[in-house]
Amino acid sequence: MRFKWFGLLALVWIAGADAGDCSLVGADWKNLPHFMARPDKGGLLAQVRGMQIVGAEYWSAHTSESLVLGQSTRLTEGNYHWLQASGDWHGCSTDLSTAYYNNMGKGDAPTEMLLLTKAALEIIPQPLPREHWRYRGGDAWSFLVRWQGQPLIDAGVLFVDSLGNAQALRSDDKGMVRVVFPDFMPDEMAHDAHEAAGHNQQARRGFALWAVAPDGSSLAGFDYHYAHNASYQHSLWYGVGLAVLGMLAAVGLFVRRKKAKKRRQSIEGEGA
Amino acid sequence: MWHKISLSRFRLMIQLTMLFLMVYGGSLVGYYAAEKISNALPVLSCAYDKQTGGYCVLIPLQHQLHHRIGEALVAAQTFSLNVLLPLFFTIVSFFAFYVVLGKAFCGWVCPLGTVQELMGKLGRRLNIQPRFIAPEQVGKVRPIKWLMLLVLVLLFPLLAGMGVTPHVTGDSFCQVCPSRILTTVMTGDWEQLAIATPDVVSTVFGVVANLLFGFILLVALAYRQPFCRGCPLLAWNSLFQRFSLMRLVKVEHSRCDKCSLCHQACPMDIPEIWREHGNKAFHEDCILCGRCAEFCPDDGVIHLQFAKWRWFSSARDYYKSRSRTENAKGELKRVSIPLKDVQNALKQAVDKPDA
Ligand code: SF4
Ligand code: SF4
Repeated sequence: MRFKWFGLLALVWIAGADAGDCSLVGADWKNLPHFMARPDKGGLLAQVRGMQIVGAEYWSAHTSESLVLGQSTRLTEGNYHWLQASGDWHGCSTDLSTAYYNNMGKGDAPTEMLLLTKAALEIIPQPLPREHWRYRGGDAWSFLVRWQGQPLIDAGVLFVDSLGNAQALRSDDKGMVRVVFPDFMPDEMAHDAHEAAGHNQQARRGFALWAVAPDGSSLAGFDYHYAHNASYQHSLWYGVGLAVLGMLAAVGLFVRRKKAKKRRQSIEGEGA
Repeated sequence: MWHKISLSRFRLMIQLTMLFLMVYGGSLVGYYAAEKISNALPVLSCAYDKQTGGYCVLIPLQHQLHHRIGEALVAAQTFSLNVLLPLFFTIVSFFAFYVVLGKAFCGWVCPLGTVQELMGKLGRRLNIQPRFIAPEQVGKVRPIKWLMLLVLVLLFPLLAGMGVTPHVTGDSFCQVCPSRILTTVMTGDWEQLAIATPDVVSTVFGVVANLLFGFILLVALAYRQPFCRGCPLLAWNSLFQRFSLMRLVKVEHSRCDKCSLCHQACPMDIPEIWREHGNKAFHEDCILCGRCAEFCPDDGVIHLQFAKWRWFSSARDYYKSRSRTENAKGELKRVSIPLKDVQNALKQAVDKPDA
């Protein structure tokens, strides 16, 4: 399913639903702000481009501290971190977030950290892909939209990605939005700075989810990345065929043995 | 207790509960690795399974050899505490589990072990004759598990970290592990059954894994625990076997020469349980299933023991009742009811319908 450049239509729809000063009309992957986080000198280097920053903070499972953008930050806890920058985008108060994972051998789960109220309007992955997992093209994942700590029902959410795909989504009666990531085969990957080959040499592309506060007072975005479809360079049919071949080899082993035994018995019978 | 329920039935109940927990337990224990029962379980419960309740120790072991030790060696760092600490944690948490239950993880908890055993039971029901590995042949199979441990779990991940072998060899054992395919397919996820084709090494791994998966699944109808015999986790677990509180104890007994029932009962075809006693009888291949103790017809010869507590001991009476439905080899006994008895019962029912 392709959603390329349907963004504008989606935005008009979202803007129509949410009255107020802030809006996402005209927003696309290129002009929306982005959060970048990568390992650096044993710590974390976080940067935000495309918006004026007032402050930034990061949360670990048990702590939260202010985050200095553009400088290496030494993380004291392992595993999952939530990074958030607050500022101004096109005259609108904006909270932009991303998640960051560092494996220090040990560390707690982010379940509670993700659900802590960290801004008035929030888009929270439920769950974040855990270790050995990731968002991937073709997969469906859920996100919780919250306003002042409460699930925001029937909220308009905009999905955009670095290839220009866009989807207009709405939260359900629990404030959950289900995102089906667009199909993604790496040969169509755009080469922008957001898309480095990841941990397992997985090609990945950036995506973001954006929402407008019900009173139009602010915007919130979650900026992250997803990998290519699971089926890319994988053949299920060869896999099934080979498993069946293995099964036939096993059956062949019984049958041969059974025949050999019968033959032995008949020879012994004749000899007697 | 063992008069009301056989040890095998009790073990089957535990195995099925553990199978559920290992394959689908994520919904009970939590989604993230830190919420799992452990990240270093001595059983093949696969991290590729999205719903697993706990991870196999081989995942962090390979990962740390690959990304920490191998990469640190290449960066010419000295072995700092930072590099070795995670490996140390993995081994310590594995060991904490291990000291308590030891090899019982293989015979009571491992999902692949349970499924192979269920396939064996199905084979008996389908009248497929059980096959055994003769005592003189077992020696040929035994080195496989050590080779798997040394080459696939330890060597290749280290070499991958050093950049000598391709990245995909960083978790070589996972690449060929039948439990990865089995446990994910059991959750309705077919992805791990697909063959990766980006490069020759990945494809070769995929071909081996799928052939092995198909072969193991069906060969288990006739051969007991086929994969366990070459499982690197059996080798890894056996390194710590002597430290475990849970153990198998066999005392010397004069009638063993003419018997061998324990050997026939053993799903791992371990002749030492029949021919030896003491430490030698608790062999590195033992999975602590306890079948040998169930089918030993003499009192107090084989014991399953936790520290000093002998919680199951061979006993003549138990053997008699246990072998009513199944012989030591695992063949099911047909319970035949004489036709005359059936006719009489029917006649009585017709004559006195209210009785
Ligand atoms: S020796 Fe006994 S407990 Fe060990 S695997 Fe064989 S039958 Fe099971
Ligand atoms: S079944 Fe018991 S008596 Fe028979 S050989 Fe084994 S230990 Fe000895």
